[in-house]
Amino acid sequence: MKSVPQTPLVLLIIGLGFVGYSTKYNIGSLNNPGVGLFPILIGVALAGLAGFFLVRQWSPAPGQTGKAPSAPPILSGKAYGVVATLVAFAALHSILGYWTSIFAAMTALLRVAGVPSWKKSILGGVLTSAVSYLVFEYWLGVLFPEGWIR
Amino acid sequence: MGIIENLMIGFGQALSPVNLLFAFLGVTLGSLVGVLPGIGPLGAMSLLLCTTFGMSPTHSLILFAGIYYGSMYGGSTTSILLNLPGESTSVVTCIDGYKMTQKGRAGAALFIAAAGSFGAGTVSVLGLMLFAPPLAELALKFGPPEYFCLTTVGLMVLPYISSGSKVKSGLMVLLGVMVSTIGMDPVTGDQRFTFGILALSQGIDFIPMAMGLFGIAEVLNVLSQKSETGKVHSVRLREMLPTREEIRRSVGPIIRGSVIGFFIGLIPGPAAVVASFTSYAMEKRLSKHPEEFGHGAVEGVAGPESANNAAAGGAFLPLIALGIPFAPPMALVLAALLIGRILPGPTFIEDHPQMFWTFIGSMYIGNVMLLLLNLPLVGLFVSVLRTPIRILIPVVAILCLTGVYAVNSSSIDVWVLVLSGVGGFILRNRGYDLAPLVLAVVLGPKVELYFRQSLFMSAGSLAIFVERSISLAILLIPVVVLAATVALHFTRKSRAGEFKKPRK
Repeated sequence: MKSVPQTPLVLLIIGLGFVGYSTKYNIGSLNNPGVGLFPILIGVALAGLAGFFLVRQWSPAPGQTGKAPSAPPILSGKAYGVVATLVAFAALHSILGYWTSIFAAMTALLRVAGVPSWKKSILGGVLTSAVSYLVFEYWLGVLFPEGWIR
Repeated sequence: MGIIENLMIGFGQALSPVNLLFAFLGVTLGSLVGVLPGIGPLGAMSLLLCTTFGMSPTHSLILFAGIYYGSMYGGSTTSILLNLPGESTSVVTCIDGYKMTQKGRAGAALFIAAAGSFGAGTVSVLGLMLFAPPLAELALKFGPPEYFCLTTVGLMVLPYISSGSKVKSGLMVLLGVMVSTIGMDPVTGDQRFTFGILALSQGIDFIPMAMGLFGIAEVLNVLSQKSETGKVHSVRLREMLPTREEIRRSVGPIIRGSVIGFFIGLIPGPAAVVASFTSYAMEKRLSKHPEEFGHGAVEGVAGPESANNAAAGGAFLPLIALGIPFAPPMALVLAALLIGRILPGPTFIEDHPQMFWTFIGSMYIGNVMLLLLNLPLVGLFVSVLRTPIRILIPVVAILCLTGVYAVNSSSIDVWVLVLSGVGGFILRNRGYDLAPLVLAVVLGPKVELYFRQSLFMSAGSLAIFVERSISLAILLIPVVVLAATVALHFTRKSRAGEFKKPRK
């Protein structure tokens, strides 16, 4: 038996959840459509299409052995490191300050991507945050979170 | 005033030192991001969006247009020299372009690609110049039902022109429209799906989403692959001249690619990619030597490279004449214009003739600049690829992180970037095309707004969409195209003798 295709299943759940949540809003009528009408229509369409796709993928077609298709490429160790760095950045940039976080993120990313020495990675981090600060905050005038530096 | 007089005025403005500088900056950056993996025209334009606050809208338009069509040029360089498409629009160029490199004809392939791109760029500007004013005039008759039909047909067409499974692309369209409903209701201003998070009340912006789906997902993809960048071939200027035979064989594909590319550029979605594949298929069918395709046929470089550039120019037409961005980079051009308090649409050319014709003039000039930049300086752009992946990838990721915050000064955008990057990586590796998702996020609010306005107008009758002649015509276009495709399919099959008469 084939394994359950995960992506259409997730989309089916999202679609159904969306329909369920949309009912909290005023649906109105065709005469006077409310806030919830359009999201319900879209949620139903998403759940319907995902359900159709799920059934089509799940039920073995005639002539097929039912063997699960080869697994799609997954995140490598390096990519996991990048994801962890990005999540940490998103969570901490307003606390630590943007430029401190950019320095830390660049240093970590250089290490994860394969720069062998800490010294070079830290230098890269310092240079990147300095250049980014000069371009974006000093020159373009964009305000970034100051964090603990303030 | 006629077209020629307007064009002359446009050229006069476009040739001013400041406009020339912005055109030069745009095409140079475009060529550069076209070469680099991970940061395409969308990423570059997103990064630069915050700079447009201090620019005149004309300069923003010239700069962003230059980046967009410049990236089409840059993408071909890596396809030909490395078998590594810098942009998805240049994937098909790898097939014969890299084979030409292996045969020692890299210079000729680059020359043909650049010349084709130049020709196509010029044709598309000509098309834009000729078709934008009448289309804008027609669009003055459009109301909410017509705009609803146009945007909905646009979304419905997306799965058919996207790569891979149509059902998967359809799912991405619906997911995108669903994401677009988060935030403020476009009619009443009520909050929806914000779960009490104030930052979500403005909705999920397509910029961090697009940067995540294309930039961060590409970073993860590159790091998950074992392969390293191959050897970069050096090309000397004197090696760039094609033979007379190669020129003769390229003229037809360039002309056909330019025309077909421009019209495909008017379709929503990844039109430049579709244009390049369509042109390749057409050239293979028309060629006297189809067996050479896949083994270094010059037509396989000339046609697709012309088509993708023409499509990039064509994509400006719906934005300028109708105010609707049919491609994600066009949504950024729209954002830059809105920052400058300019609303593109049916009255744009009438209200801002100087800006329109300056833009047209700058596109001609930008194409000449690209030709001059990309032929003698091809080595310079290629040298960017010699930057080790371990440096390039962190730089791309940091550019995305900084750029995404700079646009809206919103921490939620950083989360959207990261989550859509990881989600995009997973979806892409499972065969889901991400371009329909981004475009649906852009068009979703418009579809809902026009749908509800139409229903208010008709007191709830859905017949309004078929009672009005223009909206009916818009709805019938895909039906006619589909019917013609099916008819053509069966005609070909019957000619090939697949429908044999049953024996008596």
